[in-house]
Amino acid sequence: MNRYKISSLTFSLIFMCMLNSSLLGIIFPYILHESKTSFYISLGISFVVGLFLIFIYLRIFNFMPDKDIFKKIEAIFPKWISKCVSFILMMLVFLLTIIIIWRLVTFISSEFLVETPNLFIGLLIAAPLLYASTTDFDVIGRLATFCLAVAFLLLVFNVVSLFSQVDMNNLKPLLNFDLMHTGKSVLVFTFIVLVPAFLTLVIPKDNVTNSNKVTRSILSIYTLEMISIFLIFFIIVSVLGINIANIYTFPSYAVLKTLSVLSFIQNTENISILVWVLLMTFAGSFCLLFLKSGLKSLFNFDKKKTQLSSLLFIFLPFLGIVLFMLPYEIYLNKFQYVIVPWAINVSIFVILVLIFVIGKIIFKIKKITV
Amino acid sequence: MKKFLIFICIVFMCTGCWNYKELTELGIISAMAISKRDGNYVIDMQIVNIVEAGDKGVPESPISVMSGEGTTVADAIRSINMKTSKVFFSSNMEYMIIDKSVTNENLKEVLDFLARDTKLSLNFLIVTATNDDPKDVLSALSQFNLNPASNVSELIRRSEGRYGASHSITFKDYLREYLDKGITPVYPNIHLVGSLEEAEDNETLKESDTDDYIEIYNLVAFDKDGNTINIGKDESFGYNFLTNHIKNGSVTSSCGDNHFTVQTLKSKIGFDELKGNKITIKGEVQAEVFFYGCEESLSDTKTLDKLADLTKDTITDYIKKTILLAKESKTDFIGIGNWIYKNETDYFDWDNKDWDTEGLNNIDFDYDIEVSLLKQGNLKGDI
Amino acid sequence: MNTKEIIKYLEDLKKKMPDLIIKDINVGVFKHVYIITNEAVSSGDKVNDFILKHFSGLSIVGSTPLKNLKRDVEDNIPSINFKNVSDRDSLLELLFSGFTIIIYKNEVIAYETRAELDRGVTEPTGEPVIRGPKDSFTENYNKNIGLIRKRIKSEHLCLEELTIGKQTKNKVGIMYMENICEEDIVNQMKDYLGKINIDGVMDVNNFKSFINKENHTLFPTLLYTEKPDDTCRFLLDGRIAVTMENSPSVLIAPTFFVDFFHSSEDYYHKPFFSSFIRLIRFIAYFLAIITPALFIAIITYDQEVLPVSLLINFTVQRSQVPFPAIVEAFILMFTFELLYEGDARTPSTRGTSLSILGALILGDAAVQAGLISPIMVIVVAISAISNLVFIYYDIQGSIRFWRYVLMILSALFGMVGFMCGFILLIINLCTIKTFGKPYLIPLAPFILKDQSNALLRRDLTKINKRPSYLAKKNVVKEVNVK
Repeated sequence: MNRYKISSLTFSLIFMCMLNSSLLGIIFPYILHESKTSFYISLGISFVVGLFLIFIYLRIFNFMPDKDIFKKIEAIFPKWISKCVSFILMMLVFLLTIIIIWRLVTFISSEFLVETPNLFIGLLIAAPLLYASTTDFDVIGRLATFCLAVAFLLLVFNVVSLFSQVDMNNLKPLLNFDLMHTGKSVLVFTFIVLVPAFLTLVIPKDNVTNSNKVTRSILSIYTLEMISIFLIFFIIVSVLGINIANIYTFPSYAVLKTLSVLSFIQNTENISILVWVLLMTFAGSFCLLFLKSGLKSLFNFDKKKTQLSSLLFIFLPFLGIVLFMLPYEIYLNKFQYVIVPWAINVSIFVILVLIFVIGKIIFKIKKITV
Repeated sequence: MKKFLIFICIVFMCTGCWNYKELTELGIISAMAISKRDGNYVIDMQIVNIVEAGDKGVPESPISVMSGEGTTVADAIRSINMKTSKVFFSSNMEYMIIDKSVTNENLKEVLDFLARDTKLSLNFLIVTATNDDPKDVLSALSQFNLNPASNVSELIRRSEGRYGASHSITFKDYLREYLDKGITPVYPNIHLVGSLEEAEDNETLKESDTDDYIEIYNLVAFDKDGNTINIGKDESFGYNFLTNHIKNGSVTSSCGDNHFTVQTLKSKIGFDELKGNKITIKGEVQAEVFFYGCEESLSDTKTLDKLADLTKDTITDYIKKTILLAKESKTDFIGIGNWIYKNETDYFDWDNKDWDTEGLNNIDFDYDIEVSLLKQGNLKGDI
Repeated sequence: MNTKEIIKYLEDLKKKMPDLIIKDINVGVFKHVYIITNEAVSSGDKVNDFILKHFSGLSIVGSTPLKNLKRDVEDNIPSINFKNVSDRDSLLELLFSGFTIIIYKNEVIAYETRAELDRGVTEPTGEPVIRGPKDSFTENYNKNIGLIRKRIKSEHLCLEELTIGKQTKNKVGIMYMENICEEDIVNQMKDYLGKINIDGVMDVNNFKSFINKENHTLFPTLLYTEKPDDTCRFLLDGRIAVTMENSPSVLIAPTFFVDFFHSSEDYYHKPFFSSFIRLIRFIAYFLAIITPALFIAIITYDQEVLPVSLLINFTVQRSQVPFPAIVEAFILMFTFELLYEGDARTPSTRGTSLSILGALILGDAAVQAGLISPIMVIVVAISAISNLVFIYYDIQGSIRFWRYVLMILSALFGMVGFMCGFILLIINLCTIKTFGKPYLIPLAPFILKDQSNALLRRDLTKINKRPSYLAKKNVVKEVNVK
């Protein structure tokens, strides 16, 4: 499992793809609802807070460079506690995967295939996911390169064609923020966007060639990603207006409905939005690979077949139950589909930081005693 | 793993396709009209008639119009389903007529229905027809275009660019203006010229002296109770100038007994700042001389300045008339309140008071518009 | 080895092999020299001129007795190539390779007198050329190696030989540049070929089933070529070439995805033109795979992409056809596959009737019969024409398979199904590894420095480095451009 080698450029591209995993349908409507036209203030503050989180991530990444996150847990804690911690981490990532796939399936079933039962859409999405999870991380790296090439082209095409419909008056009133709303949106944005990318800790640093360039590439990728997210927000608010953007469940899909180039390329939203399908499938397959490494270190599965079958038997029925029992969005509490992933992401982050801190303490004690 | 993937594939084969729609099942809606009569919503749809290629010599009508009634909008549409075998396909709809009877408190339900539909695009036009029955307007054919709906939508869009006193509004802008504070949307008004029997007969289209049956009349707005506010020609010009929708409008002014026309090239007029209760309207207009019928010679530069002044007075006059109309009818269709909300939010208490009745009348205006005549066409002077 | 035993064995063999000639020459009292040759594979002139003439010249009376056969042959008979034979297996092998066996007093040597049984150096039939050299490989092993060696006149060009096939015993040569190529690749290739244990191989393309078996994919991982200039270009890049006796093509390994879009003619034209043509090939590849699937998805699930006039036009056409779109597409694609296969195998004398029949089915007659619609013919024709851009037969296998998979998925789920099928295709491409290197390099592990010769081609004066993923030893070319 640890025999692959990826370059630092590929590593940062995987990082960038994972940053995009929860945008559609979770981040866009929530931030637009909370901070309305002052979204740029929330984005700016989130950028700075995110830099701080990335700094912590890089410290964990450089600590014990030859071990991935599960082996780090095994080295730090005694045997049974390490198994418990690994298990808890795996359960949280499993729930995160389910939420990402569920969001994707509800998006497809509400906009595209309105009459098909959710179960079959789930099976359709599961086919590339499971195929990708039989392979290794270097395959995921190459898939990330392809995903980002397509995403970049479509983003450029959409932004350029929608630019003629931008109306700067829709961005006003400029400063209608207050501390509570901005604080909420900053916290939610930072954790939901960044923590899935921290799951790349499952790739140990020694498997990355040119590892001295990793810091620089991750920071530049992060900046690039924040700029493109800002651009998308800007286009949504300035083309549609904040009031319309707030009534839609998927505002990034609704803004593409207004695209009209040369009066014959119209209604191409069904083709342009497929990039989100690509990115969310990628995120799902990366999380499944994470679970595969976890299973291997937890139960010492050596054979490929046992790993795969255990993954299959856990993932598929759970996905089926979720899709069957929760077919539509639950608005018990208006934005419950944002609070649940936020809680999961915060717990994952807290566990990662705890592992790092306890690891450092134990190593210092060992150094002092030895 | 391979066997599992093959199993998934076989499962797919057995399932059948739920969203599969053949092209022949589609009923392409090219235009729609919503009105309310006797407490029921009435929906009229103009559906494209695909001529079967069997009998080629028969000139059939390219459209057919169907109506349905129901207590809600959705019920009305479903009642039309009982009359035809087609599945309705609304993504390529060209325009929608919103009748006067719906523009009061029922407008909210109608817009909710339209925004909720997943397949509806946001680019179709909203129009109204105050003098005619919407079904008659939908039934009229056109000699210029086989698809009468695209004829109407192109008519509206082109005249906005050429004439200057009409305005096209897409559904996205309409919804945005409806939801925004301090602005009421404005509709273009279309009008059926001639009689309906001639308009819907394919035979009359073959004669060369028929007029085109659909005509754009003027702009129209509705206040909260559904009363019509007719915006005349001068006021429409003023509206378009203030909201910067003018593209190549022609402004005719008089110099004594004669007239001259200028065509605007670039126009940018807007509200500048709010001091106390006074707003300055500031802007500049660049134009070229289009038609010159005055006595003075154009080779003299002083004449050009004089013409620019006269045009400036005309434009200012138009704007004043528009603002007067808005204040009299107590409906802010220009967007003054919206500008104040976006730029000087604290001026008015938006949550508790109503802008149209309480805020609009207190505002006064200053005018500071500049007009410059850049080109004269082909001639360097005049004949 | 006992002379009498061998002669007795060969006399027995002669009963089932009438083309075996055993000649007995007296050179002295009770001393016989036996000359054995197979007249089918050896050249009678050479045997007569050199061997029989010499031995017949040794008369019985008045000459020194033959002491040492080998010495005698070495001194008197002009030949470059003769071998000592030590056992019966190698004797038979050499006999059937065209050698003449000379036996005297338990000593056996073999002398080369091979007949020319091939067709000479001709133009390549499978890879037509507009500009550039027009010679191609033949079935003669030495001629093939000669065509390569006369282009790379370097002492670093190495050749390693193996024998493969129990009954066929074909000579296989692995050629590589030792100062450029990595040893891992050569060792791995020798491993693969060493494990082959079958009766016989007819052509070097048989090796494809044995090499790179661990990838479950339809994409080709080995390239075969008939042209020596291509082979030399690949050798200078750091690849290895496998050539075999009786085989007019040469296998090149390792091959990557971008190599199937290159052709040797790209280097004989200007760089802008070559980049343009390469881009067209790349677009054609994807057009060939996605066009039918995209069309089916658009007209059955997402009809809003089309403008209204096109929608009405398509509806009128499709209203005459009783089948759903997917069935119509399958019928047309199947007909086209039949046409294509027939065209590949038909001799030119029957080609005209095939094209007339094909035109009937895919043309107006079928449309008027009400079986298919004109737009579907055009879509399938676009896909088929893009297919024909690739003369390399193996890559068409991948196009054809994935085309059908994407068509089925898009007929079931529309654009979403099409996207999922496309993702499956890309994951399949990403998993392939040839000789330890990923298949999609330099596109997927994106290496910026190697983009100058991947999809586009820069000026030859500016490409002064070999591909870094292949030639780790010697990356900088010895280019001296002023």
